[in-house]
Amino acid sequence: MSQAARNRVLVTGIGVESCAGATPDELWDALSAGRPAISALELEEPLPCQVGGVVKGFDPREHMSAQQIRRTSRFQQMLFAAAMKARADAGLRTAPGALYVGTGGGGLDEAAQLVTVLRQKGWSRMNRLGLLRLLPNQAAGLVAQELDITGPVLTISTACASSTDAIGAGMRAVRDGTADVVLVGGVESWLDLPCLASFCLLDALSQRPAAEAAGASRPFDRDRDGMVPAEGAAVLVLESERSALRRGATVHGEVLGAASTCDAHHPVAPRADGATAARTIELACADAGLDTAAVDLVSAHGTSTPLNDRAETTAIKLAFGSHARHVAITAPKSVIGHACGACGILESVGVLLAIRNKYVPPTANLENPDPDCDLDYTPLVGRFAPINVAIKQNFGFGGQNSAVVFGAA
Amino acid sequence: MTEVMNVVTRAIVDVRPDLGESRTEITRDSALFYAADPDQPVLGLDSMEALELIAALEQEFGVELADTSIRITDLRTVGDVVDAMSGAL
Repeated sequence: MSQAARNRVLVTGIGVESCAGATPDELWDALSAGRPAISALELEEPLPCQVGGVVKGFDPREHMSAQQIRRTSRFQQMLFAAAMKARADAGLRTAPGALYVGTGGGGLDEAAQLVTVLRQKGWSRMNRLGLLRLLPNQAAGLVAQELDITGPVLTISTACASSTDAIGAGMRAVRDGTADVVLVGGVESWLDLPCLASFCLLDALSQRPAAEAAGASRPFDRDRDGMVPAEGAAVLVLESERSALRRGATVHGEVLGAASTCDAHHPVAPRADGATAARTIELACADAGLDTAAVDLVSAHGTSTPLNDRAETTAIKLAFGSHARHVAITAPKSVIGHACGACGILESVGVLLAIRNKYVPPTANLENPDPDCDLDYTPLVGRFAPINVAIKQNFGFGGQNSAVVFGAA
Repeated sequence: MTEVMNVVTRAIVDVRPDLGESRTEITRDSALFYAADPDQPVLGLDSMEALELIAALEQEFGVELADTSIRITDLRTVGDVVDAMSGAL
């Protein structure tokens, strides 16, 4: 399909399960107020990390049958719930044509339970359906089965860039005419002991005590000490303009462009020169047909780790040039923590609402800026601004870089 | 054996409540999945439901079919399940 014939890709439905709330408005309330939704983790054994973004009060019975609940694990249930909410929000009555889901670990928490039983009681005592509760693609499969999605149903695993990549894949499917309506989503459930311990061993997580939970995630701050893990899920309905107009759908925003690259450099560390991350931003803007100077808001990956925040700052400077000093930047992980494979889509919900409300959410806890991170990250207090174009960028382990450009409805 | 049959019947209805609601008769001859003989009663479980049924029965009786030579794929009727559980006890 030629550039001129490309379909516009509109966002017509949003579903959320996050530590900051179970609706887009609840999530926005926390993001716009810079009110961290981080709390103490309840762990069976003490670990250096003590805080996280827990989805509290999640009840799968609101969305699933008893049989579905029995057969599924938490990551599947959260994605399912978010998908049903997105479909309801969009008022969809027909089956979407495709589904793209990002997840970093799938049911890693379930795998840990199976291994525990295996070691303690023997293989024959493991959950007979355990495999189906841990395979990463089973969350998307469950949603596809429920909504009768018979087109492409793909699970993308690119660490922290997973759901950002899922949005890009979904955008291309609608833009190129593969489907008129697609779902894109992301999910992560990794607040279990083995996962957290593994990240602790990489010294990647904040070790702030439970009493300092709200102040633990502090991207671009001098005193940041690592990621704050979070769980959650979100799903967006992406729809061609033609289909949205025909249905009279409410439009939350537009997906203008996307790009993915890889540092091809290191298993966990980003390239210090930010070159590939910067190229991702440039490619996403080019895909949107825009100059980087057209971007009004950057939703940073902002992990609150020493290396990443510095490298991302370098990447923003490279990609935006002199505009880097003027563009508004926000770091949503300061409020909702790091939901790994789901972070891109959860943070994209924040971007869509920032565009709608013409408001730059603050970066919470940015009290003492790192001298090496010297851009306008909107510290502590948000502000109204004419936001028409915003970019969501995420960078994952393995050098995975992904960015999506959003526009106003 | 009757007691085992009762437990199996109850477990089948737990896994497939609609069979209880429709008062479907569950006998030793009832096929779990399908039957070539049109006169044979069929419960119409799917493979996931069959696995759930076996898992529930293993827990109920404190046995593991995996520790025996019995293969789940060989269980075709309710009677097969009853016999398998009885044999594993």
